[in-house]
Amino acid sequence: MTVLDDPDLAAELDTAMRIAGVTIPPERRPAVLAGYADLKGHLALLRAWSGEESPAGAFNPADERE
Amino acid sequence: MTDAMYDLSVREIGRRLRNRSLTSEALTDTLLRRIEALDGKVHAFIRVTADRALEDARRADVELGEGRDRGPLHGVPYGLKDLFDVAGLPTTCGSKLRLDHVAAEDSEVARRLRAAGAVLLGKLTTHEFAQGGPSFDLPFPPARNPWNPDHFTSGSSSGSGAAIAARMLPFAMGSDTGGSIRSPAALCGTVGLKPTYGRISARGVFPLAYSLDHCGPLGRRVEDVALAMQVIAGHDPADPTSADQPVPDFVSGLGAGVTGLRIAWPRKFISSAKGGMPEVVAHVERIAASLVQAGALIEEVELPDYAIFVACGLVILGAESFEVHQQNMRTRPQDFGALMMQRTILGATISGSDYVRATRLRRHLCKEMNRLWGRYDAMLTASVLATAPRMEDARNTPWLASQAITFNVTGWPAMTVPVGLVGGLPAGVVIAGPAFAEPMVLRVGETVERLSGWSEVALPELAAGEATGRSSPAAPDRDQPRLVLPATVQASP
Repeated sequence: MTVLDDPDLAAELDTAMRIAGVTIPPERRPAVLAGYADLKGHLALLRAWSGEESPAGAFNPADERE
Repeated sequence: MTDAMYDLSVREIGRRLRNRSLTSEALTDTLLRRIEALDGKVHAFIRVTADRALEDARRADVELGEGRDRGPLHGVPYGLKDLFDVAGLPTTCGSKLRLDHVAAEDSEVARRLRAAGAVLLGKLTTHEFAQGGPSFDLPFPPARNPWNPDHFTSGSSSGSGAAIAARMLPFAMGSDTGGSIRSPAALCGTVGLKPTYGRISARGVFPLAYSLDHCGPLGRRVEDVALAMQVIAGHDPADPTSADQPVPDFVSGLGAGVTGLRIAWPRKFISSAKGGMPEVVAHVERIAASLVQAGALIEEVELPDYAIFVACGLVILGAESFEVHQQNMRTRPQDFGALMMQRTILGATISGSDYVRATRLRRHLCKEMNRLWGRYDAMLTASVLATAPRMEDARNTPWLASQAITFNVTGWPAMTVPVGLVGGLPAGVVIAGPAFAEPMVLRVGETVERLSGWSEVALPELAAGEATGRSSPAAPDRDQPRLVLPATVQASP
């Protein structure tokens, strides 16, 4: 089964788009769905990070220099 | 390189302007003729500002003749990626959505360059809003690689890379959110410096992702970008992302060599790049060996897996970019090009908690990576570990063999230096350093430039002639935008 045939993935995407108030032009839907599958992979990696000792806060590349 | 006017370095242009063996007007006219002859093939320019350029060049000649010297860029031609505002000119961002936009004020970079007497020759091709590409459904054709116009330039500063490689300009400005200076520099065989986040003001530059956007110069030589940095770097109180840091001397360290310097080499990180070409990796290894011979101490280091940098960077980029474009995504989705729209709309699916998590991960990665700088002065790595793909292949592999977003996540300075050819196409390495250490990056980069033998590589000679690609005009009209395809938006690639 490809991502284009995955009804759960498509439903998820449709829900997110509805909440955001965005309509995907029909001819662009397959490419957006494929991109969404890729993004889910990145998000899975992000969520797998333990989140150890890292506070949220302003980014400053000069910070934390050791 | 030859002694032709279009081959001259920024320093040599300055020397000749001051000893009166060259005028800015003659140089500007020569480059405008070159653009007219070649840009139908390269598509580096969205707009050529010929009349304005000649007027500015004549003024520079008068001022220099009267001893009113504005510094190293006085009378030197350059170009701006068409995300940078210039008062009175359109900033199209390569998009149908911005064709009617005319900037009211100069971007801070344009203001500094104008004050320094540099001569703007035009606005350069960009991927739409610095995303996507190469695209054929936009008002302007994609830039093509001067080494072989059937091949991609990379992007999104595609016109900047192409114009430098085709020797239409001595230097140009680009922007870099995930590699958009360093990658076209690598694929077009130019130098491209992404400075530290905040080193150059982003005010008046259309954003892609606020916390990842960097502005920086491209040129044919390390010294060219160092001289440009001396003018464009510095704190801008009106830009909240601008760093309040002193501006160092970017030029005086060039030529100092690498004897005694300690250079980190993430060898496994480089060789693990998906889609990396062994011949390009071999160039990085060759440069590492050359640096050792030149007196540097090089040690292999371990970096976090590149996939974690991509996850962190793309989630931040996706969320911030959607925030920029959400209104038009809701009301005018069909007016975006397909690639830009398809990537940006995905930002709508990123939750607030995912974005916050990505910013926390970013801080963690910065902390881990910054540990290196207690031991090392610089890092040898790469941005793209492949040569330029053919245009039709590039559209489906935008992140192929790229490791560039690493330094957007950390905010460190990173500079591509061309080092050789693979199959007739350029390959480059990247020199990175700690925050605000551009002088060290430039010093090591200049050494790499000398050691690589790149100055002996013959740059591409493009024959003037028929345009390449669809619907392309033979050459841009002077002072006119190059609209070629607004009538019908083509189907998604």
